[in-house]
Amino acid sequence: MIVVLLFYFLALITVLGALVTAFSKNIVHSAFGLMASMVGVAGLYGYMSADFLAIVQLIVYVGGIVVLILFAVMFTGDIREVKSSNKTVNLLWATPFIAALIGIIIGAEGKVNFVSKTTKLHNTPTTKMIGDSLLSDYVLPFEVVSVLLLAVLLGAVHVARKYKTDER
Amino acid sequence: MESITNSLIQSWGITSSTGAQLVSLLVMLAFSAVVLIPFFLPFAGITSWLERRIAGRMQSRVGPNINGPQGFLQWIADGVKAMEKEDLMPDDADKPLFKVAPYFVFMGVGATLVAIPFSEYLVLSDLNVGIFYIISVTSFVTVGILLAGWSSNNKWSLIGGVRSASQMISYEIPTALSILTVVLLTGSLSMQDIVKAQGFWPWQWHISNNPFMIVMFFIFFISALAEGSRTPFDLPEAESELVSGYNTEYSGIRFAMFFLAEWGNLFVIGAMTTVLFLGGWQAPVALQGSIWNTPVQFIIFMTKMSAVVFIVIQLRWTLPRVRVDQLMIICWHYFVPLSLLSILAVTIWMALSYGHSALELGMSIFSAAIWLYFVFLVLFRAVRNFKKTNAKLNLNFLE
Amino acid sequence: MSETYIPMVLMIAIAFGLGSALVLLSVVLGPKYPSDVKDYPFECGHLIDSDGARKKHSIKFYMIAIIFLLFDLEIVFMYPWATVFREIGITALFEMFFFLGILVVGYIYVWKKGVLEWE
Repeated sequence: MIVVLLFYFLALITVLGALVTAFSKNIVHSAFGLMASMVGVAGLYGYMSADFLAIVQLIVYVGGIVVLILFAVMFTGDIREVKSSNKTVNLLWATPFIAALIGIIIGAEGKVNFVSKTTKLHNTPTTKMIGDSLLSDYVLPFEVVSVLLLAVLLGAVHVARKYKTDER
Repeated sequence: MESITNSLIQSWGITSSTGAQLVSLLVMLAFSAVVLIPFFLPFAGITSWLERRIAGRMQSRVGPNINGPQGFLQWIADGVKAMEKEDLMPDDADKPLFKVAPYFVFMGVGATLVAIPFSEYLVLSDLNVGIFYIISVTSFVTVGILLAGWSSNNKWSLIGGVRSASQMISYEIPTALSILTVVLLTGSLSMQDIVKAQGFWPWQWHISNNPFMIVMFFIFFISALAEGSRTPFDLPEAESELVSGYNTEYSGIRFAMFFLAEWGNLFVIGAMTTVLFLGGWQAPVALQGSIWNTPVQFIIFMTKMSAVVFIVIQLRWTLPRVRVDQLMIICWHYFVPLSLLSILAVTIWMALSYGHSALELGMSIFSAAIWLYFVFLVLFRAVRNFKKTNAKLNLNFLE
Repeated sequence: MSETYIPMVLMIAIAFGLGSALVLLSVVLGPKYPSDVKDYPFECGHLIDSDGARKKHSIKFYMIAIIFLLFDLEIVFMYPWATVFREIGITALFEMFFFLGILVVGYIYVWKKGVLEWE
């Protein structure tokens, strides 16, 4: 019972955070809402016993992405002006589209039979399992990830250097 | 924890599963409250008093000595004073974010206490991802400080907040890398497993597994200082440059919350250093099974932790502050490559010595001798310098 | 739901409750006499200009955040590796050599480009 309540609490945080992100006119508030949403998602992962994933969600998204976004947002001038923040545009068109989307999701939910295929992961350390599969079955993706990270690093440096020469 | 809960459930005659869950929830709630309110708050408060006393002693002045014996109750007076102050907010501040920011810092530090093992059984929750969890909840502190700095609408606050955040995220890399070596040696992320992999004697601690662990210990300790914004890395609060950094506009209890979190963080630094490198709560094996086991473990843990905290406090009143460029260079030019190299060396050593327990023991004793020699050298020089001054030894620390 | 997480949620809740209680006490006990001068941001007597303090800042901090993020991701991949290193042994060592080797190339590039310098 209590555990189910916890689920709804986490879901509420996630959804409310997402709503703040979408509707707030102040972009720093949006970033803040995004953080709430990320924390909610991390909680949901923890709720499903995916402990390592939950922590990674916190470290990478709250500690990394949100801080990155806040940095970007805070260093932009006139950020509290609505015109450079996210304006609410095309409300007229968006509303029926979103309503239709929600209708489809709710309609589909009744028809699909969700069966949990996983065995119960009650309090088992998932970190070791992830490590095992990363080093045995998924070695190639694991190594490709490092190439991807390298590409991102080079790209980021390149973009920043370009701006810098423009300034000078 | 579970045994307490089960006995309560049985004695109250509760059969339904909801009732049982409710009881276990209440027990955990009580236990968490005990750790946080009567332990953590006084710890942070007493440390603040102790720090000012030590500072006074080191700088030949008095420090707080009026309230209570030797000024011991100063922290309560400070807390009450903070509450009676007006809660100011600057005109153009972002009101919701300004109000919510101290909570993030406070909660970020409070949440770390869950995973810290005080003894073999005194731990709130032995998470499978324990040490990684502690790294992750620190991000709340970063976000809280960043929001506090931005929402104040004050240039000093903003610069302080941004500096603080960039410092904390930069030093998270060497911290995480140095913790990684401990994880390599243990093969588990759980805090209890990390302690159980060590022993009571200094050569059984992780710091003396091999000489590179000493390097990792120093990197961890210095990075932890930087993450907790302690001197010599207290740039976010650099009074001479930034008024008071991210908390310039805060007053009253919200200001006190930032400082409670800071002194609480001191506890977390001490506890993490103890658990990861200095053997945690490990007591002599002879005590196992006796009734004194848990108290002795608790005392050992607290002693080691307090020693680390004392060193951190002493450093604050000894060293000057580094500059912001030096700070970043220390992290990215020295610590990151050095810790990557050390990880390499530790893994190679582990692969080489695997299965040769005599070799492992020899190396442990060798590297324990190295760091004990350094500790001895520091003590020896302190005593020699003291004798040179011809001063009288006054061990009454609280005078 | 793993039960080990309940204390974590509780601890965060208690920390939040404690903070709220302290703030509430301060609201009850503390005075409330707002004035123009008190509500003015404290910038050592400088009068702030009309658009406030939130202005453009150096991209340096942003670069540090990006590089942090990448190293953070690398660390996220290294932790599962570290937990199984003892069991898998020398194979795991070479796999991580390769993984780190590629990233060290990026690190050297970033270093040579001077992103890690702080003017």
